Amino acid sequence: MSPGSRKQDKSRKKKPAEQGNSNKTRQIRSALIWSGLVLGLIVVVLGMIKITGRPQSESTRLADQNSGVSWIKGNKSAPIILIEYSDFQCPACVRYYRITKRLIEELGNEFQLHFRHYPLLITHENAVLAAQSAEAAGRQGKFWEMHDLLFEKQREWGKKKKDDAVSLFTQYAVSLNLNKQQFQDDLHSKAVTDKVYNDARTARLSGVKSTPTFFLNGQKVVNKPHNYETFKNLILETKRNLS
Amino acid sequence: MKPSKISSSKPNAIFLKVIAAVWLSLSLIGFLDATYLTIQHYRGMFLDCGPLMDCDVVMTSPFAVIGGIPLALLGALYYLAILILTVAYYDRKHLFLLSVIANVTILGFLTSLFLFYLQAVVIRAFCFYCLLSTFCATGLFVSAMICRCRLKSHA
Repeated sequence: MSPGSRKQDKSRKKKPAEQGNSNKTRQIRSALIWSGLVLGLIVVVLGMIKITGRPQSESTRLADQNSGVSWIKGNKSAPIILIEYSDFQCPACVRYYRITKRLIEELGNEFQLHFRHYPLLITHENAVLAAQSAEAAGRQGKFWEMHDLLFEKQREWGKKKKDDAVSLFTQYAVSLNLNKQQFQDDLHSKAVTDKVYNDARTARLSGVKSTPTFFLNGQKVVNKPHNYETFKNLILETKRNLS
Repeated sequence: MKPSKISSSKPNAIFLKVIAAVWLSLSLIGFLDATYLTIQHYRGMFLDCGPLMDCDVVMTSPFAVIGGIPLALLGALYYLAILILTVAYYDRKHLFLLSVIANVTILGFLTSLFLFYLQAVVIRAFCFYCLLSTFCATGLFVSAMICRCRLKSHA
């Protein structure tokens, strides 16, 4: 065998081995690329869930007692200010609506109740619309009447589809002798939506995580009173501490 | 059909590398943006994006959800598809994948245009995160069309 033909034979033997190696390298490269992508995406998504899950404020103090624009009931010059962040579609808020209503009736001279919106978007599909309805009624001077009606009739509209809920809210507006056309115009107006979203913004800044959340003279009521008597005692105790 | 591979001419290879890098970046930004909106949607959180925008208004509008599925989730899946296809192209170098990506970006661009119209004309409010998504979808579409023209002229 000549030296030239020996060389050719050697290179023929080498080729399959080289090809096998390059295939292996390509497979390893592919595996690295895809596992890197999957791992990277998992880490990024989990990281985002964790970061966005942090409450924007751990504070138990109200972020803006003075700058928020609330609907007020009770004695507007009383030194005790109870601010409520509420959601018209939240069942617990109905319970506290009854408690605060009674508190205003019996202790209305001792404190002022400020109502602010914090509609929970996912669990309560019609909550934003309900808040907008109350605000639209408020523009015709009947916020509290609509507020009461929405809580009283929560079961009626709570499970309805959005369009049906709007029809019901319009019926409530008519029953309160509001101008129907103006109510419908105001319902989706920028001023009304801005008011609801601004309330929600201040709630977030104040670390509100659930509804209803109360702030008594700027301090979050951490252990919410479960019934009328304990709530009444809380207000009377605050009054005693002030005097 | 046997997938074709890219031409080995140098300008094409460099150009395709740049295009793929652009697609990777834009699809990743779009994916993060849409994923953030999806997370916030399912958390039921209001979105705050400064005094000049109304993210809350846009994200709680009836157009933010289609058949119970948030649009943000569909957007995240769209960007994820582009991301996976681009990585597949990096891995396999099949020209066929570029053509698929180019077709998919048309769908994304048209959807983005429609959503921009909804924000500007119907809802009359803008959301920063939605505009960022529009930017990504437009960037993907424009680069995909440039890529398509370039490949055609080299064919």
